[in-house]
Amino acid sequence: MRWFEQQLDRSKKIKKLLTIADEFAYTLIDPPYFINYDAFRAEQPTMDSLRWIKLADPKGQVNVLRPDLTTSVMQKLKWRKSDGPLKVCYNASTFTQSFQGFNDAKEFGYEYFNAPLKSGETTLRNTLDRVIDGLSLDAVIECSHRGLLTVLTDIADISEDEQPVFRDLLNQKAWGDLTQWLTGRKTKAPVQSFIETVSNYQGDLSGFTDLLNASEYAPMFKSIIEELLAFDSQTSNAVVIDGSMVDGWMYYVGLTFNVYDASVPEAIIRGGRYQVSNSDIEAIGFSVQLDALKGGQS
Amino acid sequence: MKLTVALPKGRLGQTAWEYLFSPWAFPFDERKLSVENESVRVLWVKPIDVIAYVKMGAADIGITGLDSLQETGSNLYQLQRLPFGHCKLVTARLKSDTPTPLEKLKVATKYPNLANNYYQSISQAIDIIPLQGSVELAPVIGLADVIVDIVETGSTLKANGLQVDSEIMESQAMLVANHARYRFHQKAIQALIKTRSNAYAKTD
Repeated sequence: MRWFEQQLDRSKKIKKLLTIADEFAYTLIDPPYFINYDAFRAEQPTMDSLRWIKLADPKGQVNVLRPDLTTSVMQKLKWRKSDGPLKVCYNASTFTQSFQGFNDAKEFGYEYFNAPLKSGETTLRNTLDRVIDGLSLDAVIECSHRGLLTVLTDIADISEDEQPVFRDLLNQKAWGDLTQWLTGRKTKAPVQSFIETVSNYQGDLSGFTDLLNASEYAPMFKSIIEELLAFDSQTSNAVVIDGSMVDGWMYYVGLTFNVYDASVPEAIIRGGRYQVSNSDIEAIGFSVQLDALKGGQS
Repeated sequence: MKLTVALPKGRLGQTAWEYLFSPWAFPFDERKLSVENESVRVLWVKPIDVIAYVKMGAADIGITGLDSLQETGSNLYQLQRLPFGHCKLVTARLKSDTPTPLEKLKVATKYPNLANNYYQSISQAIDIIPLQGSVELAPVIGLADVIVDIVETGSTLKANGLQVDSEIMESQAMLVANHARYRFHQKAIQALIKTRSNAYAKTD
C-alpha cells in the first residue's frame, strides 16, 4: 500500500473508531456533569479525546475516566469538587477481576460506579475484538508478559544498575549487542543462551509455551504461561509472542499487548494487565492510540 | 509483500547498498530515487531523513548512523550494528586556540541534542549555533569557539587547522526498523539480516 493510500485508510479507520465509540459504551451512565479529560492517553485533554468523549456522550454531560487513575490525576481533578461530586466509571472500558475496592478514590471524594456495555458482559473478547473488527484492522496482536523481564533478570542475576541497559537492548531488538553485553558481564553460557533464545522468539503461543516448558527454569514461567494462554483463548485474533517486548507503561504487572495494522506505523492499541493504584485490584485494559491512527508520532 | 528499504545517499549509502544487495539485486544508481525488483524497493534519501522515513512507516527498514539515531532520540528497533560507517563524534577547536575556561562556549554543530547532553554532563554552559554543513568553518571565522562534529580520519579537521579536544561517542552504521513494519515483515527482515551477515562473514 502506498503512503497516501495509507493516509486514506487511516482516516476511514478514525471514522469507524468514532462510530464504535458512539455505539459502544457509556450510554447507561447517569450523567452527573462533564469534565474535559483525556481518558485515553495524556493527563491533559486533547482535541482527539474531546471529540471521542463528545461522541461517547453526545449530551456532553459526563466524562468517563479509566479506573487506573493515578493519585496525581485525582488531585488535579479535585478542583472540580466545588461543582459537585465527580463520578468515575470503573467498568466501561476495562476488565476488572473484582469490583470491590476503590477505597483510595473515596479519599479524594470520588464516587465510582459501574456502566455495563450495551452489548452485554464486559470481556476482553467483546471489546478488544470488537474494536479490531470494527476498524477492519489487518491486525497482528503482539504480546508478552511483564513477568518475563523479572524472571530473565533473576536468572541472569542482573543488578538494578544493569536493568535499564538490559531493558533497552531487549526493547530495541538489538540482539547482537545483547549477546555482546551478556558475554561482557560473564553471564553463564547456558543462561546466556536461554535469554538469547527467549528474547529472539517471535512466533505463536504454542512454540513459546513449549520453549518455556522445556527449560530448566519452567516452574518460574508457570504463571506467565497461564496468563498468555488465557489471553489467547480470550481473543479470536492471531497472537504473536514477542520475547523481547518489555516496553510499555511500567505500571503493567502481567500480560502486555500491542495491536498493529499494516497501514499504521505504530501500535494502534496498547494494553495490558495493571494494578489499580493503591489497591489489590488487577484489571486488563487497553487504549486506542488516536495519534497513531491519525499518522502522528508520539 | 515487498520490503521497502531507506538508504542514505552518499558514501555510507553506497557501502550499505553493497552490504545489502550486491551483487545479486540490481545495479547501483542513487540518482534514481526509488528502485525496485520483485522483492525489494529501495528509497534513496538524505542520511538524516532515513530515520523519518522509517519512523513514519514509509520504509520498513533503513540504514543510518548511530549518531543520527541518538541525536533524534527515535524509538526504532536497532536490529544490527553494521560493519561499516565507523566514525567518532568529537569536540574540536582551532590548534592555535589556547583553551581557557569560558562562562559560555559557542558550539557550532549539526548535533545540538548530543552536544547539549555532553556539555551538560561536564557542567559547561553553551550556546548552540546550529549548522547543516561545513561546520569546521565556524571556529576559523570566529563564529564559534568549538565544534561538535563527526570525524572519520580527521583530515578535514586538519586541513582547517582544527584539532580534537575530546571524544563524545563512537558511531557506526545501524540497521533500523519500524515497529509495526517489523511485525509484518519479520521473516523477510530476519532472513535478510542472516543472509547478509553470512555473506559478509565469508568475504571478510
